[in-house]
Amino acid sequence: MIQVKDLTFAYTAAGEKVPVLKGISFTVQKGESCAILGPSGCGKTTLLYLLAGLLAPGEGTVLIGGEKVTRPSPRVALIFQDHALLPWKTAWENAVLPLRLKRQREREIRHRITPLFLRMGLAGLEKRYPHQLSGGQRQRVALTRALALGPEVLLMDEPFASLDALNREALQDFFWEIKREYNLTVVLVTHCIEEAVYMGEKLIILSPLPARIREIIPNPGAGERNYRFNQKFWDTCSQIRRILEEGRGFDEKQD
Amino acid sequence: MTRNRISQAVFSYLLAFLFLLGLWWFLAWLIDNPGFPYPFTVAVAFIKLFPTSLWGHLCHSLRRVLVSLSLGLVVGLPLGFWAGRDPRADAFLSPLIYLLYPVPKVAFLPVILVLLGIGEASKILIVFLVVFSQILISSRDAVKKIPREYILAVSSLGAGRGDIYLHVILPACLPDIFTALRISLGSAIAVLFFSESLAGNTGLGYFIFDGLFRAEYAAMGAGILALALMGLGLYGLLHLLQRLLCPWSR
Ligand SMILES: Nc1ncnc2c1ncn2[C@@H]1O[C@H](COP(=O)(O)OP(=O)(O)O)[C@@H](O)[C@H]1O
Ligand SMILES: [Mg+2]
Repeated sequence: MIQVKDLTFAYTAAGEKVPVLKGISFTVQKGESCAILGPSGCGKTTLLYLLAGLLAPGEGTVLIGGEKVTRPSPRVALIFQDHALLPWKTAWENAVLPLRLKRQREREIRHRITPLFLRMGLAGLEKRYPHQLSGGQRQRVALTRALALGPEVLLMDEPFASLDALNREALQDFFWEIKREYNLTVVLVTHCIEEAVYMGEKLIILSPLPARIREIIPNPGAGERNYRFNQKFWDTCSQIRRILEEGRGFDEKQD
Repeated sequence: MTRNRISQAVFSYLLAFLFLLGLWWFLAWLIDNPGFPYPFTVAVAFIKLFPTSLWGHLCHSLRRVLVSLSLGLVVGLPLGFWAGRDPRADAFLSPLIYLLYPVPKVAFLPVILVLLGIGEASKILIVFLVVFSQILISSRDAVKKIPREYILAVSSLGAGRGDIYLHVILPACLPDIFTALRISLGSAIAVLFFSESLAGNTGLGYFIFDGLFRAEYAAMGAGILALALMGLGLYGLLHLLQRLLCPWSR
């Protein structure tokens, strides 16, 4: 479904090139959930922007469903870090924005989004502005907006970072339900080990800036009920922690 | 806003109004000079002159302010958006703005009078210059501080250029545009007053100075009152429009 080949990217800041991604290659199968783990500032957001067609790669290609990504497509939805809901639009208007941009009629918009709004547990909050919603509610409005056009691929940028622990676990389970219901292929980036292990059937570990792939680990237990209480979950978390610690020494020697 | 808070606000405004009236009355009594008439004298003159002459002068001034404000928006907003979005436009416009912004626009009035004469055009142009530069700077700065994620989020949903202006840039800048209008309104009215008193025979500026030269101080006071009411009305209108157009920032 998603094929990333030799992806390289650099930002130009003050006339100088800052390499952010170096030779990133991986694939994600249809219906698979892939978690990408890396320290803050290593280039995770940049990687998602490239997958979403918001940035053009320096070298390498991104194929989604066999097609080269050159610009945003309704088949691929992105949930931004901190949601990026528009503060001047109500929860409802934020959620229906993709359909408004497609110039859909009011009746169709209502017909399509009302059940989705209900499914997300947002009924009754239509007229609230983002600053009048809790973090979890904002996250679910962002999810509604992302699902409005019926995408096949869902990209998520640190989706649970701003939530407290209990809310986070409840919302992670909710995401698994939604992923199965809508048959989504998911790529999630995070700096949190437990979150990556809980959410990703495939784990990709990145090095610090500029990001290279350090290791790809299969994690078939993700998505099982009560995986958090399973020994395998904690073993995988420890395994990753070891990889990150070894890597730290490795990176220092390199520098 | 609850009923209680509204009545509280009305009450405090009433109190402020009565305080100002009392101060005026006290000063008139203290100064004891026909050049500083009592509130009652001015009110009588206002009611007497309003239907005959004052109303027409008020309309002239009001129209000039509104036309200049609209022109300032129509020209300043697109240029400000352009400078905020395109670094090349900004590199060209910013130095110009920085050099010209601190120069009091009213200093150009003599030049404008020489070039355009004493009619409408020169008055509208001078007020336009005041409003335009404020709108240009405010809208440019407002565009620059829009988080990049908002524009990317809307782009990722398939928005074109026009959609980005409609759904992101314009609403993001609207509160700052209202602030710019409020700031420039004060100087716009002051500059208009000055230009009307200097040239022509219409507008409240002319009316007030006419009262002064003919030593009709009650009429002069009525003109000042009309000018104050016009300013107050415009501020109120801006306030109302902002509440209507920016419900999220309440
Ligand atoms: N628009 C930009 N211009 C220049 N540098 C940027 C820009 N955005 C991000 N960067 C830099 O690129 C690096 C990776 O950023 P990002 O992808 O946001 O990291 P992450 O999401 O992993 O925290 C950081 O060092 C950041 O400073
Ligand atoms: Mg990030």
